[in-house]
Amino acid sequence: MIEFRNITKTFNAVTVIEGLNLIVERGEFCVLIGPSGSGKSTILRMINRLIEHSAGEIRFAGEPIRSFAPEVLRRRIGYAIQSVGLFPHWTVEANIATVPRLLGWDAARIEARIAELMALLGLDAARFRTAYPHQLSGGQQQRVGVARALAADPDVLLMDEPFGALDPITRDSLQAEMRRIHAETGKTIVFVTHDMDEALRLASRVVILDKGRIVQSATPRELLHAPANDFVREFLGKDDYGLKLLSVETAGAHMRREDSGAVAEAVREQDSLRLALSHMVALKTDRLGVEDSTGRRVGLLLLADIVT
Amino acid sequence: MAIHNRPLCLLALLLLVGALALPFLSHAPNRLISGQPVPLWTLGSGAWLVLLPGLALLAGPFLPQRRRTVGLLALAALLLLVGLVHAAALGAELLAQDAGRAARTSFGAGFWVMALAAVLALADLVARAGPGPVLRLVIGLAAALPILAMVLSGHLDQLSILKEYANRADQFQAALLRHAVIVLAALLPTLAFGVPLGVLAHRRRRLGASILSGLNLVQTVPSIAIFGLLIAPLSALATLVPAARALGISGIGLAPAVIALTLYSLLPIVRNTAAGLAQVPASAIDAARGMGMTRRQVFWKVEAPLALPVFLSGLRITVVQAIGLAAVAALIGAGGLGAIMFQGLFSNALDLILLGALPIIAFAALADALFKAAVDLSKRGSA
Repeated sequence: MIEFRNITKTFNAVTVIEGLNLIVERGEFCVLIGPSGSGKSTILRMINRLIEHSAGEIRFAGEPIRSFAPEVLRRRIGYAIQSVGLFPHWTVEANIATVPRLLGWDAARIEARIAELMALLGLDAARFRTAYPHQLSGGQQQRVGVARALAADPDVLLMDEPFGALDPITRDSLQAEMRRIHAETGKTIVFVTHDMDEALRLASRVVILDKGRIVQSATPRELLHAPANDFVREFLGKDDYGLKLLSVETAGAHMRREDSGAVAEAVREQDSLRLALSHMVALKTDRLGVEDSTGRRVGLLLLADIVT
Repeated sequence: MAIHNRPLCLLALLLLVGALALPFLSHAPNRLISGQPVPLWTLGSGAWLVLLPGLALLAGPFLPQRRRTVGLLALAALLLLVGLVHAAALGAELLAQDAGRAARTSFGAGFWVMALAAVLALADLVARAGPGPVLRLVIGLAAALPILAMVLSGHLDQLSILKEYANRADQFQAALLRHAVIVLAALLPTLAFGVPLGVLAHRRRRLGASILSGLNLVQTVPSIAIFGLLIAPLSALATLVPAARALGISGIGLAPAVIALTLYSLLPIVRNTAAGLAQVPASAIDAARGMGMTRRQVFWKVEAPLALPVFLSGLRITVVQAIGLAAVAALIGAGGLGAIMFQGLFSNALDLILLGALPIIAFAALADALFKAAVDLSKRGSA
């Protein structure tokens, strides 16, 4: 879907990206992560030509991005940023309709799309449709920002630390929404963050960057089990490394297919082992039931199975 | 007794002084002789009754300033202001009964002090009640329209300011029109040059800084000096270029007035255009570009509407300032209400000065109120 071929970027004779090669496949949730100054935002903004690359070629849907007019390219790529950037003088619905209007959709199609997106992002249309951004909480604003980025059904969604300014609880729920939206829509998403937990939680692939170079590109599991070098190990953290390992494993994959009728409390199949462990500690127990998404018991999870 | 509104307390004291210690009107057998003071209590009960709302304002400072109380007090201040004009008219009619046609009745110090106190009390109380932009305009009209009606119906004809007007009705109307022409003629080039300069100042910060410091320098030159400085080059231009003379350009008159006014008006327009654009959130512009708006769309859909309130408050300052400065332009033969004012100044006729000055004040106040409402309305949705 997106391909970087030997990309270099220099700002005022300072090279910030050097010889970058990266392919983001269709449907991937690709998270770029690195310390500040690692070039992650620059890479993201080169995709929609908000920043022009200095050398090499970037391809979008098989075509070099410079074969598109910048506006045409950008209208095919959703864009959500940390500061949200809602237009304060437009209502929520007008904000969401920005790109469809630029593309000249008819009114009925725009109406239907706004309703669909507000439902997708869990925004109460009756309350918020005609509200102005300043009447919304930070979390609600970012929901509108994501809805706006998705409005014209873009092939690719670019997100630059979209949840970085939110409180932990709101961030948690928006991360869950993004996982669900990614599963439901199958969009290709390129997501920038500096929060490793967020990367491990969301990514189908994590790309770790340092000083404009890719240090490691791997699935969250591969990354945790085989960090490429000390920089990656350091970035993964020492104190809660074990918990991070648990966070990429699901209860479903580690349970025993045994009857758990005798155990009162349960977690879901797709819940992480980290969550299961937390429940066990809180409940002072060494076993939990496991249920599927419909609430039916499918197995039993023991503390010993988590640790081994 | 607790005082709940200190400014109103001071204004109430001012009202008492104005009513009891200062002459309400001043009366003279003709306009050459200085007037004799006419205290309020000599004017009979008709004049007294219309001032009753003033009693509410005397009690006002000691009442808890709830919204409804403040609203009622504002109404009292408004009624008092209209009542003061009415009382002056009644007094002038009373005094005219046993005096010749040449007799002159002018507002006295007591009238001015009480009128000032009423206007300030109204402003203070309206600010406390915090009405919306539309209601504020309605309040302004509620004060202005009855007074205007009294002027137009002939109720005030016995006051000397209107006698001066009666003698010069044609000159006054021509001056009024001329004043408006000077202000509008200066406004057009101001907007035509000022807005692009403001956009430029915003986009090129360093250039913008020099533009603004240049315009600041202009602002420090006294208006009279600018008018004087323009006489020589413009007369030279008119002598050397016949086409310029054909356009009516000369060292004195409309041309230097419009040029000087434009020079003064540029600063607030350029500064506020640039400031308005500068306070547009960078994130909104980044998002607009990232979603595929063209440069033009970013400017017209995002930057311009978000800069509008600040731009309009610049325009407000410009218009109010130009209405005032246009008065000074009378000194270089540009005409306008200033001409009447200076005629009064040079012949020591106070009422003639007022005939020029009061409409200027009224227009400036009207422009101020209208633009304030426009600024508030343009802010909707982005509080």
